[in-house]
Amino acid sequence: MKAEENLLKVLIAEPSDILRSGLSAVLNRIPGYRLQPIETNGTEGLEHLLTLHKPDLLVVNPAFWSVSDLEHARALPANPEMKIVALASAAYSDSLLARYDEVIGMHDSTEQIKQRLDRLYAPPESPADDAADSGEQLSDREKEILVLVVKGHTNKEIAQQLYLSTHTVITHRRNIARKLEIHSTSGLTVYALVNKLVELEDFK
Amino acid sequence: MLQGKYAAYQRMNDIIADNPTLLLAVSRFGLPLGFHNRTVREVCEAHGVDTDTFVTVINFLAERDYGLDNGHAGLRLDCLIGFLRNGHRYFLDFKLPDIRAKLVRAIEANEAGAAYRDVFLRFFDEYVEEVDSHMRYEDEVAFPYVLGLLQGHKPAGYDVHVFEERHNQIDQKMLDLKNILIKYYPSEGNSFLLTDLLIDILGCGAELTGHNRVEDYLLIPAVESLEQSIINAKR
Repeated sequence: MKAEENLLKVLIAEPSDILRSGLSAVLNRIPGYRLQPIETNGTEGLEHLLTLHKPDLLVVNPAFWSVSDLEHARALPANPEMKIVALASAAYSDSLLARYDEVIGMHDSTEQIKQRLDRLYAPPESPADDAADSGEQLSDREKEILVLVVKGHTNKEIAQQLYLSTHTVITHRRNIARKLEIHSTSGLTVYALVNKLVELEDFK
Repeated sequence: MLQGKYAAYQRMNDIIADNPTLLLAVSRFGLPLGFHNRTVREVCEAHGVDTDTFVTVINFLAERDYGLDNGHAGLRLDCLIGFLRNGHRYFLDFKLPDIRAKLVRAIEANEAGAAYRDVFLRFFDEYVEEVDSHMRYEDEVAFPYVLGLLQGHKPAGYDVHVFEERHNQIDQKMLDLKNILIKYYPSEGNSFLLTDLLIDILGCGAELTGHNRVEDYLLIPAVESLEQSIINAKR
């Protein structure tokens, strides 16, 4: 399951209204993703849209795009993580399609499209990590760090106190934010208090 | 103009009945209720609101997906900015204080919760402060820049990037608050107050997202093309 803030902006460049809106509708039905389709009816002005809106994913119809357009788009000062997917409305050569990060076909099911997105966006961590890390349960170390954060200690102070590197503290903090889906320190304070990890007196 | 489900020749009343969430946009354009059977165009003209701008914004807000093609062509920027400014007033002077009052009531209704009151409010007030400074900056710097462009003034060193990319941070704090209440708040028994508060927060979050998207996808592209036309005219 993706975290709430993991919104993916998807720019769909496709001249057919039906294909464009149809793909938008399918994308909005994929579980586990928050996708924001943005539609444009062609590849004209695409360069400008890519630099302005910096989408995470670009879907284009190869019928209206040459290989040099593709190479050019990859070189733009847009989103460096941007993936480019072909919306293949006809038969194309494998060598052409291989230049894209993924290919969505006309007869793909929603499930197949989800699998293609998973291939592009699946978290890189190993399955072992995943199992140990899943769920919202904080480890004892994470609770310890959370309490210190809430009491107003800096990463450096926490590192010294717990004999950790600052880098490790930052990693723990990132994991805490991800597990709880709370990112601001004042938000974490409310969490810690409501869940009795700290007392009111602790940080007055 | 952005074509969509709603058109200028339709009755205002029918549009609102079809999509009540548009009421907030209607009020931010400064169009008062009491529409009788008047069409969108009639209502807009009676109140000095540019019809195409109004229709573009409501079609944009009504769609989940955004079409980017020439949606901003023919937009009247002064009219759009009036709409956005009213939006700022709505959030800062009306909705967020309203939510704060409800938050206080919901917390105090629960005996254990009363202890958290100050911490909760500090969190909420920090959030409001962030929204406030972002919106004030737009009111005081970004919008006047655009209104100057309309008069043909393009001060050196300024361009469309005066609009900061800070929308995500504002959304993030709102998500934090939502997660705390939905996932972690120890409520017991009757939680009508809390539920009502949460529905307000979620509604306000959605409104704020819509407002920000009008800026990102309508205002900013329109300002860019205006800048371009001024630069071209000077050549």
